Amino acid sequence: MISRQTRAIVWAQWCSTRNRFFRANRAGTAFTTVLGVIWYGAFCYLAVMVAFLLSNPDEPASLRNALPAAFLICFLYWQLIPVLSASMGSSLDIRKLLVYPVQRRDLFRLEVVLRTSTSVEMLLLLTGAGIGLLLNPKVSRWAPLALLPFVAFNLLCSAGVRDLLVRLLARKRVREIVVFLLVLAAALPQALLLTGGSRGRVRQFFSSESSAAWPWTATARLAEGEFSWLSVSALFAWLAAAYVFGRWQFERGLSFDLSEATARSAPSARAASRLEW
Amino acid sequence: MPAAISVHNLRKMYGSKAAVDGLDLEVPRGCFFGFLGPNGAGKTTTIRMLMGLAPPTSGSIELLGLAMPEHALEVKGKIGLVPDESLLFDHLTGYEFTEFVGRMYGLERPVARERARELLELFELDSEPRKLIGDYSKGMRKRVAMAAALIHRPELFLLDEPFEGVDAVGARLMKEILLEQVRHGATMFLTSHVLEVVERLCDRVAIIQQGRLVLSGAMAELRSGSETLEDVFVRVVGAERPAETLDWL
Repeated sequence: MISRQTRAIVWAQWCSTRNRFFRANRAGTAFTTVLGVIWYGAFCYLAVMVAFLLSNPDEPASLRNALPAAFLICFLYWQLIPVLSASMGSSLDIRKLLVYPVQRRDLFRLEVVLRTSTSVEMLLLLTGAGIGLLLNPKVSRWAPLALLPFVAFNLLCSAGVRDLLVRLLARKRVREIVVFLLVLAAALPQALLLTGGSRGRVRQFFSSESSAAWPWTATARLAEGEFSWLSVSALFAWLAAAYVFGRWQFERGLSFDLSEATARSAPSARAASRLEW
Repeated sequence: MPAAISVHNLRKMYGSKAAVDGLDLEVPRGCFFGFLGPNGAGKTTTIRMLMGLAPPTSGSIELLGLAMPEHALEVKGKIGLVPDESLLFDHLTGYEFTEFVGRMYGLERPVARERARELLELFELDSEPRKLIGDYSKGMRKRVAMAAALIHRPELFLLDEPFEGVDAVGARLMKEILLEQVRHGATMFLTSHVLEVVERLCDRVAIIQQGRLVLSGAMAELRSGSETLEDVFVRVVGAERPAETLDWL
């Protein structure tokens, strides 16, 4: 029964996405199609370029320097997409499925699986990276496997971030603060780069010299074939933390009662209770 | 046989305000039960708690003899829900949604598809098969929710304002179907503001106000003499106010 439900939910997600796509008139659909082809075509092209670059055995230094930054950008992109999808409603609201006879843990698995559909771009790039590393004779055969826990880490983290934001944005006063923080966060990289003293730190943060404790650095080192227990431990510790965070936020999201949130953030006094005219 | 719905001392707090305040309710099996109350009385909150969508602050719920939330999976498989509109998927068509609901209740895909087709024909929603639920009128949304609620032949129906926005023909069809289900042993738990409909359909009624049960009993017992359900309702919720409060009106 569970697999039947899983298939039904994935099918409904597909129908929902397809219907949104074809909802517009012909011109709108044609425009969206062209835009989609350009957008995903560009990422396919980038993925091929990444594969080509990483398969080249003569560029180990540049490879080493670029990978952590690339994985960090990948991580940031993956976590920002949920903000957009939460506001645009491009994925099924899992909370609505609570009325059906389905286990919460299965809903969590589904939520994580559905997250793949919101970051196809990053999956394309990481597939390109994996193929490139696999074709590189200087890199061990096992090295591209490091990308798998990194993908899982991103999916779990993304599920948690989305649930957290959906809940936060439902509360009136908190919503304004979150939007303000998001604007600040968006301006942060530019501010850091403009600050002369911080430039070195920013560069170091993006380089392979940054601490191997970061998931993107650990993944990069392992993917380059540089095996160390520190990197493996760091990557799996981040994976475990992302699971705990994702599951925790998901459970809170399922129990979240919009009416309660609204009631708590609403003013208690009934200002409009009298007809002054 | 245990009651279809058994609720004891159910409470739901929103901040410092009690939406449902110590509710006790027994709904016998095979009964058409009307759950009434003025706006904001706690009817929808009660249904949301029965469905496990909103956790109660305290109290206990048993549906079809099984405790919630311990037996939630088993219970949910036997319930048909006509919810408020927020639980529909706006980007699915009526066919897709009804088939999806059938599959969520464990029906094989061909069975779910066939039943969805038949139900949408029955509810006259088959004329625009590509129309998305988000583009449906309020009445059409209620009809598709009703169609989906029937697909797995549930034992207990939770109906939250099912006739809201539905035209007379559609409402009549829905009533006939619901009464037919009761004749086959199903239990109906209905909230509605249309008291004439409740009066015609329900054999038992409960009225809540400010989250508290103020009246409960068989329809025949509640109406004394020539009193209508509306008279009883207005009397019980204390809303008997003179219409001439604004002298210019």
